[in-house]
Amino acid sequence: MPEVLDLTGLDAISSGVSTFADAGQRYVHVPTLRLPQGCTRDVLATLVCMDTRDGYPTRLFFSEQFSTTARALNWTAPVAIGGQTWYAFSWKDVPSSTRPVEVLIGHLAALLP
Amino acid sequence: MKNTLIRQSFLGDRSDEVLDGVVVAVVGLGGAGSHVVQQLSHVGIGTILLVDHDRAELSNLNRLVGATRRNAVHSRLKTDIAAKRAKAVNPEMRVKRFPLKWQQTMSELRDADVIVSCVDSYSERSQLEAFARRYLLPCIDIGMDVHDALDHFAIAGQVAVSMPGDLCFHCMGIITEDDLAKEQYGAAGGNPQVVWSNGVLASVAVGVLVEMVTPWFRSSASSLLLRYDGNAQTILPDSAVEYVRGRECPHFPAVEVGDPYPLWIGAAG
Amino acid sequence: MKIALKLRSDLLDEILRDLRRPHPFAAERVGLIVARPTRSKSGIILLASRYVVVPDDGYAEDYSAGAVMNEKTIFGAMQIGYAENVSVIHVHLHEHTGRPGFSSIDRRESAKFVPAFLGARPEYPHAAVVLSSDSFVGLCWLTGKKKPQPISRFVVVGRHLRKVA
Repeated sequence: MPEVLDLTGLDAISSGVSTFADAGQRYVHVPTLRLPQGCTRDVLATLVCMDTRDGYPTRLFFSEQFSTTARALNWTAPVAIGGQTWYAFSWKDVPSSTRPVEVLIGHLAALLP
Repeated sequence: MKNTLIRQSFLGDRSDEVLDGVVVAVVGLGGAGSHVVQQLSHVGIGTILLVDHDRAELSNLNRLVGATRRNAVHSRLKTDIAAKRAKAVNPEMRVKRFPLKWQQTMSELRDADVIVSCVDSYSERSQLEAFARRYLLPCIDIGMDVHDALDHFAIAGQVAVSMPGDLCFHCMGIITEDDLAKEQYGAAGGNPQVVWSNGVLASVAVGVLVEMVTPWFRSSASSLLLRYDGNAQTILPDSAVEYVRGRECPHFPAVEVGDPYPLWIGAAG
Repeated sequence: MKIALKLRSDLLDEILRDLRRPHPFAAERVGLIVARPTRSKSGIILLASRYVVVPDDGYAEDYSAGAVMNEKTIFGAMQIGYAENVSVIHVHLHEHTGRPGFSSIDRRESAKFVPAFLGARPEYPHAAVVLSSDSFVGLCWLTGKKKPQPISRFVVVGRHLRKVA
């Protein structure tokens, strides 16, 4: 498991990016992620889970559910992380990396046509 | 001492006041949770938070304490059924209903003193424990399943306490990464549940809770795992847990309490 | 809005053991509780995570109060709040049973250093707590509030859960 996360590239996506741990897993908090065109929300807070969780190598969680013209999103039940409620949709496995920006982009590909 | 609680005065001179001051959140109001709620109302717990988004149905009637056939036919909310049962026993009990997924009630759950986890999946159990540890809430969990043991079925279960600062469910082997990945619970299919096993486990859980909040008996351990054998009709401490007793829990470091910094400042706006 | 403080029983035991140690010249000992807050339906809950011992040389030789932190200790506390993004809680002990109280000197001294903690990490509440052998009293400072607010509930979490309100 990578020990140190390289946050390079995330400051171009959002200000105030930070990390925290919850139940042994590492999360990168991206407070203001601008979603791709076609999404019913413009900007949402997101969490990138950099460790294996629920059988996935990494996961991307959003502060709210939304829909997109790119494809039908299969949202999971709400999840508690760090004492707040988050939502994720089913997507292919995105492998972990030392660079959260790569993981984030991998997951956001689901929102592109 | 209240008249209604005089027969449990051995719990302490002011135990009725102590119990009245306790806030218990029961998450999951199915077979185990409904038992727990009924017992907590008898015991004199002052405030109960009832959390379950689900409704009663006919297949619940073999075990849902307080439910009537009419409730099932009309798909009554489990929170309503549990609240009615609790208030019938103790009209002074402060009952708050949350017919929601517990993840949508975390603001209220933080004000509880103890969480009783009666959820029905590893994922829910894991999340709820993580929440409880972060907010310094003892979490008493009840689980029951039925295994296919080749030539017969075996009923098994546990009552476990995850106490902040002590062993967690991961330390005690109740939750593993494999479990979370597979999310299988029991070999008999359809998550078999029966009222008598739920009743045993719920009673033990309530006993553990009362011991935690009143001074009548000082147990030697804070985190706890009791294994139920529903064929032999026994419930005994898990001996394997003692091998890891005393070590620091690596899953929930003591410093990971309260809101993570970005989520605390994010919520301020 | 109500304010509560929760801590584990083993942490409280650690705090009491430290505060009961004699000091070369101060009449009392003081310590620092590091905590992280959360918001609940009822208000704010401060969740204690660890205890920081104030060493013998962390006191000012000032006999106007039972114990006075020196500048190095106050600065150290501010650094903890700033660097770790946490609430800092000053604590000391009145050795008796029953609910303790803030003396006028306690209030005077708290009103000097707790706002300094707030200055270092203003997004977080910071507090001062007085313990007795079986009870608590506390005041909490929040950015934007002129006066500190009482901590109305203390919960000790462990094999015996104890609430003081």
